[in-house]
Amino acid sequence: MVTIDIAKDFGVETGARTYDDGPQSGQEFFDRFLKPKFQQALDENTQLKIVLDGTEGMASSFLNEAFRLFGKEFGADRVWKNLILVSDEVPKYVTKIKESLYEGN
Amino acid sequence: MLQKSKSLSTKATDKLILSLVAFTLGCLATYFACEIEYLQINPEVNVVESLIAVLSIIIGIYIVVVLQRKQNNNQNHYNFLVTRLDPMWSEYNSFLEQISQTDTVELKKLQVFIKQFQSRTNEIGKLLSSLNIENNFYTLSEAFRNQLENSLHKNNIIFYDKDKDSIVDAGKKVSDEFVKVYLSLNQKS
Repeated sequence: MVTIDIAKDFGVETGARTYDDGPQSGQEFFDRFLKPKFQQALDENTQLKIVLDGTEGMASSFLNEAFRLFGKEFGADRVWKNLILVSDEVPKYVTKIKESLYEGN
Repeated sequence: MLQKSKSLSTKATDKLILSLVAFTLGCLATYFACEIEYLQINPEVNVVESLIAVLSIIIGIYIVVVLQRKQNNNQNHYNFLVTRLDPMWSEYNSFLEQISQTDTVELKKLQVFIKQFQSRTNEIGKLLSSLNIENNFYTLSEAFRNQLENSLHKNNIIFYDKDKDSIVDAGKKVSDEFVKVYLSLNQKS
């Protein structure tokens, strides 16, 4: 299984939507982590696990942009079937992510 | 704290039951004393009066044990929730005041505050639901946050001077929700 731990790999402080908004944006997260790691997971015929806990909170715009682009790039159904989300601290992030994935389609 | 309140409630119930048993014994003693005439016991028993007395005792026990326990439980829930809500309301008002006074906020500060706020309201929301008290803390705080996030960003700082009025209005709706919940809790307690 391929894993992305957002707090450890990307940082405990996440930014807003796009590169224009500032560093650590959702767009940057998609480009640097979601896209290559999901491709790796597909190549290895396994799932992508994303740990959302441990950050200082995530903006709706961050999650929306990252996962909207993710769904648009790979297809929402394909992503959703191969995604394992861990969000014990704020379970509502999972709902937001699913909505954003399908928004991109 | 809940455990402590529970223990206090159990002690109060024990005292009540003890008082009730003492009262019942007193009633029985008085009843038999009234049946004695010049140190002669009247062997006749008035069935109707006895049944009424027994029924009255059963109703008394029901009121004391069941209703009093329910009342105590509600009071415990109320105390528990109020002690959790008070600091949240205080912190929220402080945050809203800062938003009202300035035109910029760091994205980080907003994220940390909203994460903590929603995590705590999620927990309290479940307790409120168990008391049949509806609350929209999550939805309203999300609307407040979204309005802030939709304003101009630069280097992860939000500049919201143009949308300030609508943002502060959205923030006040969360404050109003606190008031609504406090009122509902007062009515239920």
